[in-house]
This record gives sequence, structure tokens and C-alpha cells, in this order.
Amino acid sequence: MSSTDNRSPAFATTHWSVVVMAGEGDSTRARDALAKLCKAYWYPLYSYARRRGHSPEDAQDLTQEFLTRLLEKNWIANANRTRGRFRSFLLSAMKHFLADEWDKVRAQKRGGAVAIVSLELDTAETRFLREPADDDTPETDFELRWACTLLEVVLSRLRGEYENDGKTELFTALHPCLVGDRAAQPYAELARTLGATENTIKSAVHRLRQRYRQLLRDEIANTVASPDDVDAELRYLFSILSR
Amino acid sequence: METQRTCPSCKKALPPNVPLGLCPECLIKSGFDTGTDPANPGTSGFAPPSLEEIRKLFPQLEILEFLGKGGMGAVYKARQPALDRFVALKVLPAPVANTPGFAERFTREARSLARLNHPRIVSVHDFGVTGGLHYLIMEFIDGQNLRQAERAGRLSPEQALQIVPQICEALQYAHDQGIVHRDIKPENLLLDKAGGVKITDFGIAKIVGIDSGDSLTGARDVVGTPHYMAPEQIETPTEVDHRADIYSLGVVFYEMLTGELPLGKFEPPSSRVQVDVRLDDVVLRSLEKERSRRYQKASQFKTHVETIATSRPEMSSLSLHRQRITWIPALVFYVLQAVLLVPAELAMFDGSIDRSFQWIGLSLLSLIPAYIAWGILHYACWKALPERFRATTPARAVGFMFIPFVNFYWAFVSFKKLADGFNAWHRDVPALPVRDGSGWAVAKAILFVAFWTLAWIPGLASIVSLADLIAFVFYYQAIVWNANLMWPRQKPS
Repeated sequence: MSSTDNRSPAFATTHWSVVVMAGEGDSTRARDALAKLCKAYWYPLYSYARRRGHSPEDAQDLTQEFLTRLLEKNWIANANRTRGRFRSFLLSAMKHFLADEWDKVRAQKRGGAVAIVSLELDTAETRFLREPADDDTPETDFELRWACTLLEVVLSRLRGEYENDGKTELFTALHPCLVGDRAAQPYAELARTLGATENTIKSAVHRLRQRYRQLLRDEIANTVASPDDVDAELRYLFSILSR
Repeated sequence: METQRTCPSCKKALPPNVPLGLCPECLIKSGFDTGTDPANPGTSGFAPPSLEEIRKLFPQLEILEFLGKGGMGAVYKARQPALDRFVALKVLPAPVANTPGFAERFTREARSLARLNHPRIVSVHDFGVTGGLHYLIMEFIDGQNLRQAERAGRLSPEQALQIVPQICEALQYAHDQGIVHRDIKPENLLLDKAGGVKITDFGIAKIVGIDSGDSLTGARDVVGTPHYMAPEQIETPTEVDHRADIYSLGVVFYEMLTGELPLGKFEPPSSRVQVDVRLDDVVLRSLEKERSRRYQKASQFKTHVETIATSRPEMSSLSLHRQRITWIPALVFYVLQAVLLVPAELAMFDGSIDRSFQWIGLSLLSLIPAYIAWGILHYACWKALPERFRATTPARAVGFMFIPFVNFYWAFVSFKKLADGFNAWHRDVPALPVRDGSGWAVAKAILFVAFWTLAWIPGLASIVSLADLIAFVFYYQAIVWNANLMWPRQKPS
């Protein structure tokens, strides 16, 4: 029974749709859902703040403060037109925050923010420094980070599922098969290294890819308001990554 | 420091920090692969059995094709050779069936479903378990579901008004039997070829345990979206009653009318699309968060919708309100025209025919901007209409503006006659007695404005335009006659 729980932790319904549904009503469920989303997707915000020229310390405070306010005050209600996607909502709310709020906040206090979402902010800077700063705008950069973060969420969930089933080695061996054409995978080679028949490997890869696809779509569904938007968002993410 | 690596698949250089060292672009690309039903992104993990597997499990049926996969299982089209009829075979997802208490619930619910006998409800012929697979054999409907119909092209409000009462009727029947659907959504409303509606998957939600509050079943995962669920189905799933169906139907109805879901603080349908304003009440009432404020019975819902469908539509003046900028000048110039007629008439009573005609000319000139504004208004109204209501072309819409232009032409003809009449008369009667006609002139101007105000009532505009055309001609010709009456010919002394 716990395996079911671990498989999709707290994905009872899609998060963003719960948040959007709640609208102005301050329901705890909606706040929980929003908090979960924020916990997963804060890094693109940090990166955005850094790219907008804020120092690492400022960017940390700012991301923390932004998320705190997002959760405390009911900003969702104001986000009328961007409601469709969590991604665009988050970016526009952050822009608004940077333009109107941040200076005031900084004047009032330095640090001392009560952390509502705990973020690994120290590693964030290390990560930020390692990533190339090409000539993207902060916005396209945000979207790129967003897409990568989403993939990370999906892959770690996928890996988690395999680990729970005691198949960590299988996942380690097979995960490169997630990319590329299904027919082009080195099945024979994998079969040799794993000591299984080629057909077993083929179906294992098939299952892995199928599960990955499902988790990817589920996670995208978490960030859009309607299941109909999943395909469009998937295409959009692809366009982000392929530019 | 890592060395620069390239993606083995697309050969592009990989940026650092890519998830699991895999190329993000190719990862997303893998997400496009087929194998999942794009309509049901939320259905995790349930792979429908293949046709071969199903054929092995159901030797008594001719399995014809796989129809689709929803949150609550897979559906196949099959034929019962003995009865020579088509049936729909629904197979419930195995993970759901493994939950405790499922077997009893399945049997209990399926029995009560089989008792539902209504032309608007897809009937259940048989149910059971075979090879560990729970299945239902149901009536086969040749058609598409409401979601598919909506995707193929938006439904007109008339169609929505035709569909909704049928659903209400079926719901009322089921509710009378104590059965709540619990999962009313476009996917579960089938439209047959004859245009009739049938509700399918009655009570399946309960069998599968979506709203039992039991997260173990993972059934919430399966449903994917809570958009059609009543608030109490999410908050207190154990206390759901028939009024949850009324809420869900409200969502379906709203979506049919506007093409959007009533999310958050939503606008009433008539402010989004051109529909009868009274439908706002129906939709808003069915979407009340507090169920005691909703319709208490599906039959009330039905009656209300039918009353609206059969009576004269009350359109909201959406277009006019939104086009205030255009209609205000149109109105101003109409009023100006009427007001300018006052000095014209006064001059006429003074016997100063030239001055009178100067005023009348001005009055008519003020009509030109009025007509232009009116034409713009017509075009703007046409543009503001949602596409499916654009029964007319922009040229025709603007063409209405020419009705007053004809009017204008007729006015000139009648003025010409008026002028001729006055001139001829003037020759005969050089000295006219002065009469005070100001009261008469003001009264006429007020009448004129009142008359045109009527034209702003939707539906009356064309009648007023026509009446105006006729009245205009007679009005000015009457002046000639009036003049004859007021200033009777006198023999020159």
C-alpha cells in the first residue's frame, strides 16, 4: 500500500488546477498545492533574479521573499490572464514583484524572512555559476531553467519509483535509453551487460519509456489549468529547449 | 570540470547540469511518443489490455476494435453474435480492482446500474470478472462524446439548450432511483447519430472509488482533472449526494456555452458570448458552491432551461455596451438633427423660407456624421460577435447604415417639393401674418428624439427605420399642407 503512496506523492489531482480552481477562496488545499509547486520550481526564479543582475545574497533573499509573499498573500486571484500555466504565472508574478515590491521590502529589512518553503539556496549559486551565461534574455533563461527543472522532477520521480521497487541498477543501466529513437537503442549490448535476453531488455526499455512519458505528462498537467493544455505545454517546452 | 559532452541522439552539445546527463531536448521529444491518449494525460500507469488479450478472455464476444481509454478503464467495441448486436465492453483498470472492498462494491453498484432503464442512459447488459479483469458489457452507442463534438467545432447555444434538458431528464430518473453519477463530464455524455444524448459510466466513479476519499486506490490520479467535480466531492467526498451531479452539469453547460471552464472567479456566460441573459441565472445557480443553494432537483434545472429555450430570447446588449464610444456620437448627432429642426420650423413660421432652409440643411448635414458613426457601430457590433453568431457579413452589417441614407434622399426630395410649394405660394401671398409656432416645433423635436430612442431597443431598430422612412416623407409633405392650412390663401389686396 505504501508503494502506491510513494509512487505519486501528493499528486491527488493536478496542483495548478487545484490552485486555479480555488481562485480567491483561501483554501488550505490550494495553498498546499501551491507550496508543493513552489518547492519544485524555485530554481528558475533564482536564476532569473541573478540574470537580472542581483547579487547571490539578494537573489536568495528575493526568491525566498517572493515565495513567502506568494503563499501568504493571495496573488493567484490577481493573475487572471496568465492562469492557464503555472510557468507564465510565476514569471509574471516575479516580474511584478521585482518591479514594484522588492525595493520596498529590502528597505524594510535585511534577512530575517520566515522561511515557508525551505530552499537549498547555497547549492543554487554553485549551480548557477556552472551554467553558461549566453546571450539569452532573463526571460528565455527562466524558461530554459524551467524546462530543465521540470525534467529533473520527472526523472527523479521515475528513479524513485525504480529505487522503491529495488531496481536501481536497472534504471541506471537503462536510463540513457530514454532519449533517442526507440529502435536505435543498443539492446544487444545492454542485454550482454545485464545478462538478460534482448527481448526482456526491449520490453523493460519500453516500460521505462512509457512510464517516463506518463510521469512527464502528469507533471506538466500539474502546472497547467486544464488537461487540454498538456500537449500545447509539451510542445512549448520543446520549443524552449530547441531554440 | 566536466568535459563538453554531446547528446548521442541529436549530436548537440550538452550544457552542464542536465538532468541525469541526458539531453533535455531529446527527453522532451520522447514525451511526444504515441502510446498515451492525449485526451487523458492524467491516467497514470494503466495500460489497456491488447485486443488479443481481450479476445482470449471473452470468447463469447467478437471483439471488433479498441474504442478508447478513459480514467476508468478501457472500452472496446464488440458484437454479441447470438443476439446479433453491438456492445461496448468496458474493462476496469486492474490496480483499482485490487483495492480492498472492490469486489463487493463492484457487484453492488453494477446491479443497481443494470436496473437503470432509461432512453437517455447507456444501459448495462452484463458485468462480471474474468481472468481477474472486471468488466461491464454495455449498450453500444454509434456516435461521439460531447468532448469530441466540442473539439470538432463549437456547439451552438441552441444545441446546448437541446442537450442539457435531456441530461437533466436522465439524471432525475437516476436520482429517483437513488443513483448518483458522480462523474458527469463531456467524455461521459454520448451524442448518437440522431442527435440524442446518452449518459454513460453511471456510478462507475463510485465503483472505482474516486470520491470515496480513499487515496489508496490512486483513483484520483486516474481522473486527472477535478474541473467537473462539485466542491464537496473534493472536500468531503463521503457526503456527496445527487446535487454534485447538478454542479457538474453546470460546468458542462458553461463550457458548452463559452468554450471555457468556470475557473476561479468566472464571468457569467452572457458577458462572454451572445446568449440569453437568463441562462446566467441557470448556470450560476447550478454552480453554487453551497449545494443547498443549487437546484435541488435535476428536473428544476430542466424546467428552467426549457422555459428559456422555448421563450423569446433576452439578449444582453453586450455589443452596444461595449461600443459606447461609437454609439454616443451617433445618438448625439441624431439629437442635434432634431434640435436643429427647431430654428428651421421657427423660421418657417416667421415666413422666412430661406433661413428655414438653411437650418434644415444644417440639420440634415448633422445626419451625415450620425450615419457614419452608425455604420462604424454596426461594423464594430459585427466584429464583437463571436464567430458562430456572425450570421451576416460585415458589408451587410455596415449596409444597414444605408437605410438612413435612403431616408436622407427621401428627405431631400420632400424638401425640394416643400421648397417648390413654398416658393409658388410666396408668389401668390407676399405678406404673411406672423404666427408663433415655437411650441409646435419643440413638440415635434421631442417626438423625433423619442421616436429614435425607440430605435435603440434591440429588435425595434428596423421597424423604427422603416417607420421613419415613411414618416419623414409624410412629415415634410405635411408641412406644405399645414402651411396651407395655417396661412390660408388670401386674395392680394
